[in-house]
Amino acid sequence: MAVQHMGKPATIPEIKRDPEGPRSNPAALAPYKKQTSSAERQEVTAMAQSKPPKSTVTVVYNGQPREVEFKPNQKLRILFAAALAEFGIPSGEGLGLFTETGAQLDLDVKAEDAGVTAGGQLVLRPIRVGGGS
Amino acid sequence: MRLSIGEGLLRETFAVLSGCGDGSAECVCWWIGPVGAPKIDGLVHPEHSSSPAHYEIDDEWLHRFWIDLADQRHAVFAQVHTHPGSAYHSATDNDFALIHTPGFLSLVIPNFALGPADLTDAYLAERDASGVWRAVKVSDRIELCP
Repeated sequence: MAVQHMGKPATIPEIKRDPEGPRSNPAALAPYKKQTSSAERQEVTAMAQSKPPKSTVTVVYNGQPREVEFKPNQKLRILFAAALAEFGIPSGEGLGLFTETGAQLDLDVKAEDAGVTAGGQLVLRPIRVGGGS
Repeated sequence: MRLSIGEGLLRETFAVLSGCGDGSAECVCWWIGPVGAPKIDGLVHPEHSSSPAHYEIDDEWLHRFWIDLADQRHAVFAQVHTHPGSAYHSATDNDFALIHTPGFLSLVIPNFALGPADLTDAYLAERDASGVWRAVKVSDRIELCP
């Protein structure tokens, strides 16, 4: 329902005075306080909105390096899933995450415990490749 | 996606497959090209073990290759391997292929690639969007260039 504003007679609201004076009423002193500058307000806003920098690792798959976000305290399985999504791989069956030196990582270990650090590189590749008739 | 490959590279593929397998073992090659451009400009013959009915890639070699591939900004677009008899995609071929992204091609050449260097009797499979292998017509996916 739309709110309708009815015309009212103009009245002057009663001013309630603090019997103890302005010192007990901080709001009354507000006009005398130092005004916050625009730059200061922007700084405060930026601080409130800032988040810790995101951790990313470079994952290499079939010739392509891609940045993948991860949280150090999360299991590598989450990073693995993010990497699959990044490369458009529908299923991770048969694939593994490896270090640059070729060590396969346990996906149930936390990234920080596996030595995975921001800015590092991981290899996403098949665990075994073959064929047969 | 339709791969473009030179006839010379196809002949070379057959020569490698038939030479390595020597009529008694399976063999595999990979066709590579620049990332994002499905034009084959190279042939890779990976280190592998093999028998008359299987092949398997050396794991340490694969890891080094994987990193080199990224350094060269190249990708593998298709794997090509031989069967002793008829060409088809076996359960092992399905489960242990090199690439897991949709659109990847797997070409199977019959008779240890001892026949003529053409794709008349070859079998071509492609990973679909759900990762499952589907048979596709060779001429729909591979374009031979002089």
